[in-house]
Amino acid sequence: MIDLVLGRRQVLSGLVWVITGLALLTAGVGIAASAAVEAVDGGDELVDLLWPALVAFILGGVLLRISAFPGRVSTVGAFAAVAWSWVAVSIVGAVPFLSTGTLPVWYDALFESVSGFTCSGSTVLTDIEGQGAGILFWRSMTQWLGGMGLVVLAVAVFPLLRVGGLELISAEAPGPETDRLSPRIRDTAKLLWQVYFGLTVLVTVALLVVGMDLFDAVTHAFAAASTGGFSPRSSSIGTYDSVAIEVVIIIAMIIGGASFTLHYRAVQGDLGVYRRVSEARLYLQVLVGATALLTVLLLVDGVEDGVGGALRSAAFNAATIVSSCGFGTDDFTTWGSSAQFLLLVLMVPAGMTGSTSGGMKLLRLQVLVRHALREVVRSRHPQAVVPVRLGNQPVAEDVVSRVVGFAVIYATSILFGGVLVTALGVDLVTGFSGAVSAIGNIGPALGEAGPASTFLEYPAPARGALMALMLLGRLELFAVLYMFAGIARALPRRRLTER
Amino acid sequence: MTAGTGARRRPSFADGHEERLDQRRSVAAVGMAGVAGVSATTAAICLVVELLTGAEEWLSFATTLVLAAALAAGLGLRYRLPPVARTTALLVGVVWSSLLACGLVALPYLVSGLLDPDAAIFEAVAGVTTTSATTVRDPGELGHGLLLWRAASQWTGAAGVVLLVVVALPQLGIGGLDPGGVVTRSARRVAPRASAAIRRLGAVYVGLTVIAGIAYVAVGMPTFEALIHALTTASTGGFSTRAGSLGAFDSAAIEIVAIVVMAAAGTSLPLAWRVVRRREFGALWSSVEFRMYFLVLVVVAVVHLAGNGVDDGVPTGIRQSAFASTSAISTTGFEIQSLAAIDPGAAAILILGMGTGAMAASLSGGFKLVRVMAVYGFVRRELVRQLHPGLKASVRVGRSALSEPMVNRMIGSISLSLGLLVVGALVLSAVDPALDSSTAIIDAVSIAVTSVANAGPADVGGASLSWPAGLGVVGRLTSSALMLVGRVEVTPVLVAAGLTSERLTVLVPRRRPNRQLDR
Repeated sequence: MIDLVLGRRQVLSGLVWVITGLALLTAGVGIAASAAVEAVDGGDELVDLLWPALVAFILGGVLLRISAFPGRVSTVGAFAAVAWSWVAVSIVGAVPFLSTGTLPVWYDALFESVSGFTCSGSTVLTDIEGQGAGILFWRSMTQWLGGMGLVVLAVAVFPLLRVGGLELISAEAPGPETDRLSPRIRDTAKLLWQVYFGLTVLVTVALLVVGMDLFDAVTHAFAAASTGGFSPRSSSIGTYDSVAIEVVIIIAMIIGGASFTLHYRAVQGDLGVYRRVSEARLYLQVLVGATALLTVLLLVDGVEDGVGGALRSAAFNAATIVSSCGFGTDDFTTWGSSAQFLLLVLMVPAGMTGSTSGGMKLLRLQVLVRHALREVVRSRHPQAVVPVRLGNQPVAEDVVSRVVGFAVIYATSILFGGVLVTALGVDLVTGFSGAVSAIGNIGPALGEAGPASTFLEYPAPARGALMALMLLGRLELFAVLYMFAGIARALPRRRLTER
Repeated sequence: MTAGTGARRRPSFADGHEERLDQRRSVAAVGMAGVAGVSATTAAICLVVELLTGAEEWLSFATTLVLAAALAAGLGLRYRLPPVARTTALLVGVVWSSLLACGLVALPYLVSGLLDPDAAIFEAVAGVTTTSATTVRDPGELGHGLLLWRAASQWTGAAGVVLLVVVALPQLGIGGLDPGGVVTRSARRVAPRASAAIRRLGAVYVGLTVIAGIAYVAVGMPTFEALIHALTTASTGGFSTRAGSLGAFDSAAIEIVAIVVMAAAGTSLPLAWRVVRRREFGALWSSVEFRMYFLVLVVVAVVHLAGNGVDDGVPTGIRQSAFASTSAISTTGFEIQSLAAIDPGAAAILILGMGTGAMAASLSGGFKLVRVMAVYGFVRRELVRQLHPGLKASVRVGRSALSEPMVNRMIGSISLSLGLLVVGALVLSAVDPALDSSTAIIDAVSIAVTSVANAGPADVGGASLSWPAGLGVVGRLTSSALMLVGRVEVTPVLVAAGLTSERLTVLVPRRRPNRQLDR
C-alpha cells in the first residue's frame, strides 16, 4: 500500500490511465484558476471551487502515480484512452457546477460539463448573469481545455489512427504530425499549443481593444478559439450590439474553425498554404456563399430591412455555424424556413479537419461528393479508371472507403439520434436539429432550442441522448464506438508502433 | 483499382458520334411510342367508362386518345429499336419516355379544365411516379372516367417501373441493382429471356391487382371504388376515391385487406413469382432481404404504436400502426391518420420508413432495403478495417458477396439521393410562400422526402392529405421534379441531361495535366 502511494509500484499499465490522470490534473489546474478568479471577484464561492480542484488533483495525481506508460500502444488502446479520459474529465468537471449550486441536479451539471469539454456550447443554464465569476470562468475554461486536447487529437492523433480517412489531412500540406504516438507527439503538442495560446491571447487583446472588459474578453476568447460557444452573457454576443466586437469574434471563429496544421505552417512563414489547400478554399467558399445566400434570404423574407443589417446577421451566423462555435447575435428560429434549413445543412459538414470545429468536416464532404459523382461518370463509362481527387491529388481507394464509411455512420447517427430525441418528447424540428447540432458540436439547435433558448426544452432522457451524441461526434465516432472494446479486449489489436 | 496507376481512357468523339446520336434518338422514340400506345389504350377505356356513366368529360379522353394514338403510330412506324444500344441511349430513352408519360397523363386534366396547369402537371407526375399526393381536394367530385384515369396512371406507371427495374436498369447497373447482384433469391432471374421475364412478372402484378379487387369487394367496398383502390394499392400508388383516403371507409376489414396487398406489393416481384408459381414458400423466408423487410415493417409498427398509443383500444391501435407502417414502407401513401396529427416520434419513424422503402425489384419507391443492407455491410467492414487495415473482405448481404463497383454504385446513388433531398427541401422552402414561415421547415423537408421516395403523405400543418393543394405554382413544380427524379433515380437524369463524364470532371475535380497519370 505504501509502495503504491509513493509510486514505487505501478499497478496499472495502459495509456488510458496515464492520459486520464493527466487530463484530471489539467482539469484541477483549471478549477484552481477559476477559484483564483473567484477570489479576485469577491470569493463567495471560493471554498466550493477549491475542494473540487483538490479532488481533481488527488484523483489525477494518484492515477498518474500508480499507472505506467505502456511499451506499445494499440489502436483500440489509443481510442479507449481518448474516449475514457474525455468522459472522466467531464464527470470531474461537473463537480464545480454542483458544489457552487449553479446547477443543483447532477445530470444538468454533467450536461453542461460534457457540452463544455466537447466544445459544443449547448447550455442548460438559464440564469447566467446571476452566477459568480469563478464558476462562469470555469464554464468557459472547460471549452478551452477541451479545445486544447482537441487540437492535438485532430492534428496528430486521429490522422495517425486513420479515423474516417483523416490521414488525408496531410495530403495537400504536410503538417507537424508525427508518425508515432510517442515521444515526438509531445513536441507536436507543444507547437500546436503555442499556436492555440497565441490565438487566444490575440483574440483577448483584440476584444479588449474594441471595448470589452477583461473578464468578458478572456472568457469569449476561450470559447472562440476552441469554437465552443459558451458566453458569460445570456444574450451571448448580442449583448454588446457592437459591430466591432462582432467582426473580431467572426474572425476569431473562422480561424478557430480552420485547420491548425495550416495555422502552424502559416506561423512558420508559409502564408500561401491557405490558398493551396483545397479544403481551405472550400471553407472560405462555404463561408462566403452561405453569407451571401443568407443575406438574400433575410432580405427577401423581410427579417432585416437594410442590406447592412442583413449582411451583419448573415455573416455572423454563417461563421458561428460553419465554425461550429455557436455564439449568438440573433434568434434565427424566427427566420424563414429556407434560411433555417440552410443553417441546418451547414451544421452537417461544419468546419475543417485539424481544427476544433465539429461536424463531419468539409474534407470528407469533398471526398463524398466526388465519390458520388464518379458513379455518374462510371454509369456512362463502366470500365473507366477515375480516381477520386482532393485538389489534384488522387486519393487511394481504401481511404475513400474509410471516408464514405465515416459519412454513412455519421448520417445514420443523425437519423437514429433524431428519431430517438423526437420520440422522447419534442417536435420534429427541435428533435432532429438537436441531433444534428449535438453530433456536430455546434451549440444551438432550431425550433424550441434556438440561440435564445436553452436545451432545457428537451426532456432529461433526450438530453442524455444528446450528451452521448456530443461525445460521439467530438471523438470522431470511432473512439466512442471502440471505447468499450479496449476494456473487453474482445477485438484483436494492431500494434501502432509496428507501422 | 488503384488510383493514379492506370492510364485514363480517353474516348474519341470523332468516330461514331452520328451513329450514337441516331441510336439515342431511336431508343427514345421507341420508348415514347410505347408510352403513347399505353396512354391511348387507357384513354380509350376511360372514354368508354365516361360514356357509359355520364359522358361529362368524354372530350378530354377523346382528345388524349387521338393525340396519343397519333404519336404512337408516328413514332412506332418510323423508328425501330437498334440491335445494340449503349447505356447513354437507354438512359436518355427512360428519361424522355417518363416525361412524355407525364405530359400525356396531364392532358385530360388540362382539357377538362378541372385543374390549373401546374396542378395538372403535379397530378400527372404523382400518378406516373405512384406518389399518393394529390391536388384534388375531394376526389369524390371527379367523374368515373377521371378517377379511373388517375388510378390507371399509377397502375401503368408502376408497370413501367417494373419494366425499368427488372429489365432495363439492372443491365445498366444503375444504383447497384445488377442482375444476380440484387441479392440472391429475391431477384434471381426468373427467366432466361427478358420477354419471358416480363410476362411472368406481369402475371404476378395483374394477379395481385385482381386479388386485391376481389378482396375489396368481398369486404364491402363498392365495385367501382374497389377497382380504383385495387389499381392504386397493387401499384403502391395510393390515390383514393375519397377525400379521407382509405380512412374514409372507416372499416377494419378494408384496412386489413389494404395492409396485406400493400405488404405484398412491397415484396420483390421475382421472389413473389417463385413463391406463387413454383410453390416455393420457403423461398420467401430464406430471402434475407424479405426477412429484413418483415423486420422493418414490424419495428416501424411497434415504434409507431409506442408513440401513438392505444387510445381507441388495443386492436384498433395495432391495426392503425400496422397500416401506417405498411403504407409508409411500401411507399403507397394511404392514410387513416394524418401524419401531422400523430405523435412526432411516430411521424419521424414513418418518414424514415418512406425514405428506406421496401424490397428491390418491387413496386415500391424509396432507397430499397437491399441498398440499406449493403450499406450496413459496408459500414461493418469499415469498422473492422479500422483495426485491421490490410484486411481483404467483401461486403456481404446475407450469404452473397457484393463486388466493389456494385457497392460503390449503391452508396453513390444514396449520396446523390440525399443531395437531391437537401437541395429539394432548400428550394421548396425558399420558393414556396406556403413553406416560408419560421415553423415550416419540417413541412419542406417532409415534402422533399415523400416526393423523392414516391410515398405521398407529408407532415404539413395539420392537413397532410392535400398538401399539394396548399402549395404555390413553383412549389408544385419543384416537388413534381423531385418525384420524377426520385422515381427514375438521379444518375439517369444526370446522364440524360448531358452531365456526362467530360463535363463532370471539369465541374468537380480540376483536371490539370498530371504527371502520375501521363507517365
